Amino acid sequence: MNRTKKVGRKVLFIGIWLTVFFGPSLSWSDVRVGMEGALEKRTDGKRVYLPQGWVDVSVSRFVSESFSLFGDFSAKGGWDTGMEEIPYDVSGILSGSLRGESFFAALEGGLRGTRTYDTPRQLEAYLSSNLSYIMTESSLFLKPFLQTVRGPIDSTTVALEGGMEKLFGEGWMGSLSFRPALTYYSDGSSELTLEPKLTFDWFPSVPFTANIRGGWNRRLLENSDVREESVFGSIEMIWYPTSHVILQLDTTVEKVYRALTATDKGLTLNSELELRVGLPYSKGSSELILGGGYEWREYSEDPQAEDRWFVRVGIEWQL
Amino acid sequence: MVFFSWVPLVQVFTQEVTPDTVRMWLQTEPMAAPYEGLSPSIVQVFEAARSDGLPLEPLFDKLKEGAAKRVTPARLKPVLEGELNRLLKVRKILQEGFGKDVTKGPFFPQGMKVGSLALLSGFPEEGLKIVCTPSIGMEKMVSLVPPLVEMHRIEALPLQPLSSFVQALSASPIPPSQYGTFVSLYLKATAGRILPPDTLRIMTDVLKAGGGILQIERELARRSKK
Repeated sequence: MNRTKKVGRKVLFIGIWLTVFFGPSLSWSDVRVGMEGALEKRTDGKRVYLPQGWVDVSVSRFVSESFSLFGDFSAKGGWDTGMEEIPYDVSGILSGSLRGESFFAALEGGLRGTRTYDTPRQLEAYLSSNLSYIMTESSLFLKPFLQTVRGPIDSTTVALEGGMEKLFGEGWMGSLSFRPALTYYSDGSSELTLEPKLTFDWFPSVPFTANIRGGWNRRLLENSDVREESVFGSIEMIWYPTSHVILQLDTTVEKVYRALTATDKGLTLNSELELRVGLPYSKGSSELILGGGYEWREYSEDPQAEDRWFVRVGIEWQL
Repeated sequence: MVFFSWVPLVQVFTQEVTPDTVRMWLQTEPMAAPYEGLSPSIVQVFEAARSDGLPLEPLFDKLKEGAAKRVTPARLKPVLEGELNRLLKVRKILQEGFGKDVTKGPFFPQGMKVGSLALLSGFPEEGLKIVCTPSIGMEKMVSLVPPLVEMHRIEALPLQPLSSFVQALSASPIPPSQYGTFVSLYLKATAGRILPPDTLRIMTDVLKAGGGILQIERELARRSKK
């Protein structure tokens, strides 16, 4: 049995153990069901329809003022006219957090199974942790991460992100972090990813918030050759313009300026918008969801840019 | 209809308003011209407020804002009477919460105004009572109510967790000038599908553990659905 399989089994074992241990102590707190219809134009030019439905269950238990347990279970599935098989996305996450006067520790484990048009069948399991040392207006953190993926390409990733966060001015927060990650593939190869990142969050005293992230990413092969090097910037905004309406916009720009093959180099713009409107007479328990997204990609040695877009309309009920 | 903003609270209370001030303003102010025929009944509302011992500044502000927004004469008097009733309710809540002498305190006019605006915006009376307690104090109450009203507007605040949150926040070293940050934190939590009781509980527990805004944001971000 190779190392990837061994680590994968350990992660699965811990996930099952966490479920058995924490499951009974959680109480059902939030169940949502929803359905939507989406139209997507993919990069190959095909237009597909995606009628889908989902169930989301969230549970929480505040054992004491310093110890909390949370669980999220989600299942989404339906049809994709571009696929012969049924697409699905099923996941379960359990997490626990412990806080004290100057520390915060959290442990999270999750399992996710997906089948999409570009991934025939995939199972992911992960364990992540957050260890923070907290001062008055700043904190230092370490985030160990372990993930195993079973799918078209099996892999196991270990990562350790470290950084600091600081509150400055009124409603501004900044974070500086560095995340090295090592991925082992089932064919015996491995890859090292280095990612320094800078993040700013703005929390004004009005119903609006923005998150701005920027970073650099370098992926190295075993022999230290650069597989890919890129810079990225991202902005996420959430706005509550009027009663029962929440608008979310997420936009990312990534420039790959060094890659193993010339056709991997290029510029990507990805933007997604979601509007959630609480329906009248439902006391906030049902929402209309309107969304859309656009992704545009241009390669340095290919004059033909490719794009992908989607629009979706859905409704979600809180039971 | 809500036609008041939270903004000019400090500028408003500069001189004492009397029914005569109002009568004079109605006679001389050009934007009050459409209400000329209503002048005696408008002054009557102010006299009723004075005889009830209420400060007239919030009512006068309401009158000026209504005139600036060209509210129809038929609507103006009911709006002023509605404001008068709310002020009576707010004074009762303030007196029950902070004691009878609250009317002599320096923050009383501001307390009346934010309380009235809160009720006008649909904030529950019970919620206002939770904030009006001696352990919080009138000065913090004045800074705390506007963000709570905004939070309640985004998604209704459950009263029991609200009480714990308000107590924890007022006991924390977070200055009142930063209370507004909780509006956008609450919005982000709501967009992240965290239920209001859980959001308030996380905020409360972090504050009780000695944490601040930074830790609250990070814990809410962890709990948000990806």
